Amino acid sequence: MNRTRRVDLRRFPAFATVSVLLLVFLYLPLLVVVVYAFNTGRIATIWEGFSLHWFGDVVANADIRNATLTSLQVAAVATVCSVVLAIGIALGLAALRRTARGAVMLVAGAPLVLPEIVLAVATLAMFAFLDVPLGMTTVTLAHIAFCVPFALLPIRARLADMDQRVFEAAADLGASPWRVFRRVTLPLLAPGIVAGALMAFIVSLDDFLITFFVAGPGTTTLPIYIYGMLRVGITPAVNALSTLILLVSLLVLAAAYFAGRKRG
Amino acid sequence: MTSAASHDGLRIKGVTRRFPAPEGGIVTALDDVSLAIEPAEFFVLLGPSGCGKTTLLRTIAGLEYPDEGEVWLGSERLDVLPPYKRRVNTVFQSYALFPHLTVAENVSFGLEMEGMSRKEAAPLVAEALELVRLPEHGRRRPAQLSGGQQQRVALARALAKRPEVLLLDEPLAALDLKLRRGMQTELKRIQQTTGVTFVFVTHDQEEAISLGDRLAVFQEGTVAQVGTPQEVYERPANRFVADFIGETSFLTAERTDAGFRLRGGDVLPADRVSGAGDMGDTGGGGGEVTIALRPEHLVIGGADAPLHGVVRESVYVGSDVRVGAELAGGEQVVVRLPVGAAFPEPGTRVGLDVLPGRGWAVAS
Repeated sequence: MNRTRRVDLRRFPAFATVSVLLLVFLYLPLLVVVVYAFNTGRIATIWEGFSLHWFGDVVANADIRNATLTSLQVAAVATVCSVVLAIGIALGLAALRRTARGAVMLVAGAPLVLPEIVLAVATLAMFAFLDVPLGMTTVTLAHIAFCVPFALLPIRARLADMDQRVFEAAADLGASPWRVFRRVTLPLLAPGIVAGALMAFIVSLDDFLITFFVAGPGTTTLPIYIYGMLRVGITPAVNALSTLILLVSLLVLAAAYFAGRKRG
Repeated sequence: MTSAASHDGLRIKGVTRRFPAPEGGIVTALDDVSLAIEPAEFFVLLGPSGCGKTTLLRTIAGLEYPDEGEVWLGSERLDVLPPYKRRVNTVFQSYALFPHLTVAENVSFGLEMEGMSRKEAAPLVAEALELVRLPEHGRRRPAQLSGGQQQRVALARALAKRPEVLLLDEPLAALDLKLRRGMQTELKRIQQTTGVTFVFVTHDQEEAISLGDRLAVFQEGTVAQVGTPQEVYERPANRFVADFIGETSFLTAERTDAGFRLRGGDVLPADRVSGAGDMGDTGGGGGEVTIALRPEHLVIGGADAPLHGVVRESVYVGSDVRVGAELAGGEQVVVRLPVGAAFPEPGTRVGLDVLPGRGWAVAS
């Protein structure tokens, strides 16, 4: 028996193969979408040569421009509002006792794991019950609500990592509660706030299901517009638009990642 | 720095503070504590962890509020003010420097809170950094400094405010032994040059004795004794204080006409013990007394010595030899032998005596 060979209980030979296959299954469709965005021909599934003209079509399309503006407007308002709410919740949580804190975190974080379709139905039912006409307002309100947990996570993590004594030190040195917030809390939370804002922005930009339920006829965000395009048939223009959205999402997520790590 | 000793001292009047215990019930962290701390005094709050000393410090700072009692600084009542309106400043155990600010900005922070511009504060910042001997480090961030340097910045930041009272919460606990010794000397120097009243929390009795002008020994939320280091060391108020400060052997004895009769039958002559007269009913004879003995107050004598024991161990500790002996009644005592004395082997029968008046009768 070879006594020097180490037994690694975490190693199973089939896992590597299965993992690779899963990754291929996950990323191959994305790759296909990106590649065919540069296809010359009209048929999305047959490669005919390299071209950028679908991107040109996307940019020139007024409907796409309007949908993009709507999405950006909703995302901007949802980001600002959800971040402000998340900062308040994070600071409030810090003042609670451990058990109460766990309970609030559970409630605030639940939308992350609840089935989105249930949230969508519930949100729509609430607007119907309150007799709020569906449109820009309802979309924005719904987005603020589901963005809060995403904004809260990095802000809360950042706050928990900080030496809580710095707030006491600031008060001890003569800073009123407002000045402690302005001069110490806010600057120290900044990386978490940036990360939370970027997360909220991307989640809002990306959302289809809840938006679809509460949008009403006049309000078309980008995901809803793309869904409409698909009903007509998959064209390389959809691929080009998806590629652009993918690019923006990746950039924002990378920014969020680095903001979260900064001065950790 | 100008002398800040313009107040009439810090007065703690009957402060009580209770916390809900994690496992339910109530913990009384401070139980009717009263203290008078004089201007320009280096006052130490000493006690084991959980004895309430840090709670008292935080109560003075305004980071805790008392359930009962008052805190006065001169003619100003502190306990009703928020922390940012009190003329006291704190050096935290974890230093609590602002990581997003440079060293100079950290020190400047408190001055800016008083309405100074950063420019107006600059000379005072430089002066404070000079005082803690870090004049060249103003542009660094706290994370770029060693623990000892961060400690100095925390000190400079609090002192730049020219507080009337500086509160220090175990400021040296995180430093290694050699650095700690150096900082103790520095703190004493800074306290003497600035004339600021220092209230210094520590659980380290050696630190307390070497630094404090006076100290208060805390025992489970109450003050067991207040006095100079010498008073507390030589005349501990009770068994807890005697046990906590320095090395002490305890003997239980019965007071008789001849002296103190130990469990094993040996009688310690009455002139070896002082303090018993202050003991109320035990002073009149017949009562039971606990005698506290410091190692340096015990001597190994000949066969005519009043106490008899057997050597259990001899330990060489560099500066002297500590001999552990067991008396006839089974009590363990520690004797310090002078440098160069013979080393008794374990198992040797020895006579033991106490220097006249150096045995100290304490309340149990």
